[in-house]
Amino acid sequence: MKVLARPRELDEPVAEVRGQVAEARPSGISLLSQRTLLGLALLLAWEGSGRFLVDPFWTSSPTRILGKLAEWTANGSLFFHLFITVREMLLGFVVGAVAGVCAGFLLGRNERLALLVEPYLMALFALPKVALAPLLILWLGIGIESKIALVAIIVFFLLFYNTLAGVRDVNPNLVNIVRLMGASERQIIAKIVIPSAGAWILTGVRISIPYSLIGAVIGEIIASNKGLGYLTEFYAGMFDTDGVYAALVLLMLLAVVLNVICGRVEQRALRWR
Amino acid sequence: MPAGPLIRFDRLSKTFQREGTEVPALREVSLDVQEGEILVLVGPSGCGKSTLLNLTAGFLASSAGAVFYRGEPIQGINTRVGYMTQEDNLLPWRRVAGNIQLPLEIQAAADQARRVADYIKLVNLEGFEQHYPKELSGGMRKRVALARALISDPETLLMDEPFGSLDAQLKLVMQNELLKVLDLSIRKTLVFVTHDLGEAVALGDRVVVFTGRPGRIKAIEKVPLPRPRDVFKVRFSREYEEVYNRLWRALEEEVYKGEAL
Ligand SMILES: Nc1ncnc2c1ncn2[C@@H]1O[C@H](COP(=O)(O)OP(=O)(O)OP(=O)(O)O)[C@@H](O)[C@H]1O
Ligand SMILES: [Mg+2]
Repeated sequence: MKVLARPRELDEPVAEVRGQVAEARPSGISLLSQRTLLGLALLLAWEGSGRFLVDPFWTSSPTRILGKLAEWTANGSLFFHLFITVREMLLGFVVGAVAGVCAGFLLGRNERLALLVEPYLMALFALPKVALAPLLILWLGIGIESKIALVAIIVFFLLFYNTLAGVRDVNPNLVNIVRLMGASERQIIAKIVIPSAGAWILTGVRISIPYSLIGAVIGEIIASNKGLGYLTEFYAGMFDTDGVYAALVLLMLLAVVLNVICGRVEQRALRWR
Repeated sequence: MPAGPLIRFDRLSKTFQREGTEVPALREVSLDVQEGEILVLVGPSGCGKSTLLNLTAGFLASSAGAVFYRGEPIQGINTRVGYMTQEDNLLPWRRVAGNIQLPLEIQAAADQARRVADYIKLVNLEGFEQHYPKELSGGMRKRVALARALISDPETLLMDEPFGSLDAQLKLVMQNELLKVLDLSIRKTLVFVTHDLGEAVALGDRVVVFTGRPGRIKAIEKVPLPRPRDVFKVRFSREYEEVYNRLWRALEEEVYKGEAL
């Protein structure tokens, strides 16, 4: 199960592959410039096909997308919708993450409670959370609250299970060693359990960032009047593919930025691994 | 009034349960450790030396018999001992200085930074304060664990092969430092496990030889060398050689028995 994978496994192979690529790379043109060339070639091909092969009604084109983005920037709607989605995502993420980490610690440190409630949590975990969207919209309306709730629920379960696994993974020898030094229960949690589970929690955070974006966008597509998901829905309904593509580009940029930030934070925090 | 022993092993046995079968590790071990003594344990691999230390620290419960500490049976973790385990058990997310500081943080001790610096110097790790454990060699990690065990200044120290992965010269230096620390307070007690007979004689007031698994006491040798000692010089004394030879004969039989199995 991907969600419960050990944090180390998610990372190390990537680093190895990168090392090999770096060695195998021919001298001369750098990887960065090769990548830039490839990107430009793809954009050119897209632009050319829009002009000579396919009607841009279906596939739009880079220049038309840029035009749309410029138009949205000028009339202020770009940042308005972007911030709505970011806000839903971040608020939902914070609420879900705090609740998930707390619940994970609670059950991780209390084996009896965990045994009692685990089957029910498992059943809820198995439920595809996006199926809750219509219900949440019914309860909370089409505003940002229903999206925040959906994101929070998705993130809650991801972080709950990672925190639980992290707390259970704590090396009992380390706990014994600090207990021998006279540590209280509180000191054990602060000095051993939290830092050691921290790696799992960070992995949970990394996994749940893209999921929280998915949650926000799906919520918006189902019912809303603002946000990037709403934009794709709205322009598709108008048969305006330029608008749809422009909204998708914004979503992609948002996801990439979030991923880079997350990767940086994780790398810094897990230097000891 | 003569004080009782600091630690008393009273017909102590430990059997591990493993997938339905029983693995006897220690059988009927009875032994007294006096306050201020350096007691060294030697014996074939797997004879239960680490198990004995784990029982003394309260990490394990005995199967039969008991360990008494100052006359009280040990139940749960024994916070009066400091324990340098066979694995270094460092906190991987803490740097060298942070690992050594850990006991001081827990005790909320004064003057932590200066004391950490002193102990880093003692174990020859200056310049590595900001390294993570994974960035150190096995011998360096052992020295961090040694500093961490010593800095908390417990009345009794348990050490499980602390110098096993050091080169011969550094080992002598570390043995000397350890003796210096112990001689600073005459009441400090040390129970020390090693595979190195020379080290056993150089450090120990008494050396206990265990049989192969399940471990029983095979022989106890008193080392008639006064303390404080200089580990560089004791090696050339006649007493050292005699005790060494007697220990070797006792251990030799057990080692060959183990091979015959
Ligand atoms: N947790 C455990 N479960 C099952 N068996 C164990 C466990 N711990 C130790 N044993 C067994 O008990 C015996 C004694 O182990 P112990 O670690 O005390 O040996 P040792 O004398 O310290 O050996 P070495 O010199 O190699 O460190 C071994 O045969 C080992 O297999
Ligand atoms: Mg051992």
